[in-house]
Amino acid sequence: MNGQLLISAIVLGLSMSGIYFLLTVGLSLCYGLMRMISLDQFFYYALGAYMVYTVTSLTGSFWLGMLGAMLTTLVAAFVVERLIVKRVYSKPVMFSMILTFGVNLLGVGLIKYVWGLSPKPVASPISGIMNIFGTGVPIYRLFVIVLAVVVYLAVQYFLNKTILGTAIRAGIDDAEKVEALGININRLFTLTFLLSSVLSALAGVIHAPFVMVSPEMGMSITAFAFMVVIIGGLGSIKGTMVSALIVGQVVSIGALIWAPLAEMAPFLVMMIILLIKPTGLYGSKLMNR
Amino acid sequence: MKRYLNSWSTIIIVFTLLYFLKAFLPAAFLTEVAIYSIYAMGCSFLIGRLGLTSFGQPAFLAFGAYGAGIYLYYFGTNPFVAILVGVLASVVVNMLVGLFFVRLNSSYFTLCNQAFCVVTFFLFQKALVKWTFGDNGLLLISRMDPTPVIDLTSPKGIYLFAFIVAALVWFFYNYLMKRSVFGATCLCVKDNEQKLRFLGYKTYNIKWLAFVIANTTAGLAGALYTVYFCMVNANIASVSSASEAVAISMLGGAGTLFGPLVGTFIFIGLKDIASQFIRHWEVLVGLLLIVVMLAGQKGIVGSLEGYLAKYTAKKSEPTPALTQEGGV
Amino acid sequence: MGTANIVEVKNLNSAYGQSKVIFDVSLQIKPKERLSIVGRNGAGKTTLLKSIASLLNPTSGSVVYDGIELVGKPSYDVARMGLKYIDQDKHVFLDLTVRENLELSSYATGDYDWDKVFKHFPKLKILIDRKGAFLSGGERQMLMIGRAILGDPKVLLIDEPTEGLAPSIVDDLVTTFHELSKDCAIMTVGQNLSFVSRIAERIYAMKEGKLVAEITDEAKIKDNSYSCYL
Repeated sequence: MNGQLLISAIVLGLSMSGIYFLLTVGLSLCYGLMRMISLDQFFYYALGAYMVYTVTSLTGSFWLGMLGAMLTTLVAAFVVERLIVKRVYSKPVMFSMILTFGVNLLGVGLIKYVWGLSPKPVASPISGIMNIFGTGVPIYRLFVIVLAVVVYLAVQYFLNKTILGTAIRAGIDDAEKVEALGININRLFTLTFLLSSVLSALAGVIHAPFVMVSPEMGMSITAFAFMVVIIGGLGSIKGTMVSALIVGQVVSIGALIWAPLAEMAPFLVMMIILLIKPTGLYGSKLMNR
Repeated sequence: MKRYLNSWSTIIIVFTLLYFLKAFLPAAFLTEVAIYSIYAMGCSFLIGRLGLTSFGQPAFLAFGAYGAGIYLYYFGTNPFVAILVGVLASVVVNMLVGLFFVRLNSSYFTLCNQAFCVVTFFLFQKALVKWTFGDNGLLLISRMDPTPVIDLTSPKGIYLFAFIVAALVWFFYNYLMKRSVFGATCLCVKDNEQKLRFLGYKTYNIKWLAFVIANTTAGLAGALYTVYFCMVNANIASVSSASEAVAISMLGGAGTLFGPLVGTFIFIGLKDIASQFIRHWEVLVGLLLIVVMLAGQKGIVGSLEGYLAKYTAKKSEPTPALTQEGGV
Repeated sequence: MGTANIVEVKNLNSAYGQSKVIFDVSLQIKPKERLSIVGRNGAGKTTLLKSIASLLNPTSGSVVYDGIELVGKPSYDVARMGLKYIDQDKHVFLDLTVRENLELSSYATGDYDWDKVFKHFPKLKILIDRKGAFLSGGERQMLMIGRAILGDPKVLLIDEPTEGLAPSIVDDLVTTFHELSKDCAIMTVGQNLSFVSRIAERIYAMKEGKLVAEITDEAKIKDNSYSCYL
């Protein structure tokens, strides 16, 4: 196989891993703490991409767009949380899943009303190309990788070194006991939900220059996001990171071999891993409940 | 009242009445309702009886549809055989996929199903494009021969046939399954799988069989779909319609006798009417899901049954809805 | 002055879903007393404690703590007001160290004075950086009580404190409970009658969701004669 193609596939795979990680870390956190599967994250992802498109085309600055997208999503997620999601925290997983899927559909429909059906382009904010072992690699892809690493470290720092993070880790273990200590668990839930949705929006923002922004983009990435959380194990941040790395590489190298493998190969990987460990790589502890 | 509602004569009466509704409503609409209600029945069984929500139902619809479609395009001309081939194809796929899926707990099950749906979509759209023609699909007009007794190539024939099949499916699920030990064990799986295991049942086998049965129902609906529309393309497995079966089940009331039928009737009706006024139909589906879930998840039939039970019976069994475990 | 009751439970009814568990329970907890509720499995002891601590919503009745109605209040507010519930499953947060467990409790109550915890449980000071998953049953119980006494609670509700503990640790607990009750009222529930006899000043016997007897006589408590009510 052509070495240059391989290198650029690996870098592309790594940057895709970064995007998958940002998108799924929220899903994983929400499942860990609230025992809910928040399918509306895919709406925030699409919303982030659309907002960066709008703000970038208005102001000309991608970075302002990033900020604007995250703020807009924060507001949207807050409204959704107050009106809808708040009511299902204590309910079984099925309940939140169907409900948030409804939110997702509603959101996609609204996006179609606001921005129309035609795909929108977002220009890459960093246009240079860097030479790695004789292969030209767009710097933006490297930036995405670095950003994802920074977010991973920040999330780890937040969870392990701050008191709120400690409370979230305790809540992942047993939310009722955290409440019995005197900590307002609902506020922790809201915080986690908002954090997750902002990270999902960030995923949408940085993914936008790779693809055309379209209303169905949230739908088309769901499968990959699910494969990442399942392979890694729901509720584990480390597992999510590891499996995002795996899926990213499988997707980009698979596509190099035969285009349809991009979608098929990670599914096969998922099936094999589930065959060995039905709870995913790092997901054992949580499945007791 | 409850017993009366569940008897097989009710099923026949309801479907016969529905059949003659064509005097008032367009036959195309009713045919679609009949076919779609079969699809919804499988999903409703999974939710209401097994406690498994599947957002991947279009995949199982697609295998039946493509089974029938590929037979008609490449091999034969008899639509009855095509439907049979579709069902067989879907049985084989379900048996294989089930081996993997039913080992998972319910959250993983849902996610895997949706991932499977996307993979199926790409399978038919990209990977097998040589045989399926991707988005253009297989066009089957004038590839079917008229059949004796019930002519499936005529609108009248397929209309009648769809209703007969729907009634049979109803009879199967609500008469045979509900009264069998197997049906009871399914409900136990939903309620408390561990206890059932302690009793000596192999819950894996039960879930696997239930999974195969429910999704073969979807495959049957898919095969009917192909024959009815004389075409099949990759869009049948599209994720954007992934929630439809779940939405219908929840709308009508999962696990209730006529829930899937009422749900389908309202859903398709709304879709036909609303799509004339609003451009983007998913807004309504989304709202519908949110409202049904927040309003108590019993669905229309579930709520009605609740009221009926209050008025008529002294002792009523609680309406099966999603399990809601206590706080222990 | 005669002691006003710190907790006043009146006609409390509670249920899990459709099945009623607690029937018209009324009881009082006096400040700084050691109270025990005894009863068989399934008598509704845990449900009663959880209902008082607002972890379960009672179907009717009232719980007044320090002059404030607790029914309908979120349980984290109840805990912060100084009425704490300690679960029977000895579940400390497995992934968190002893320090982090205590930090959480301090964060919730604003009380960072850990010396009083170490005064009762010096061993926790040695174990401070050990994760919950690697603590023994007795150490977990120490940590659970230790983190509960941060914020100077006025009432501790302790569910089955001796379950699964070695006899020597139970002896320590008796001393600890006597010490603790100098500052706050302790209500335990359980089936370990010999333990109850050693700590309780007053006993309620509970049967099938109802309180069937109140025993205040010291001699009767000492010789376990209340067991006839079970």
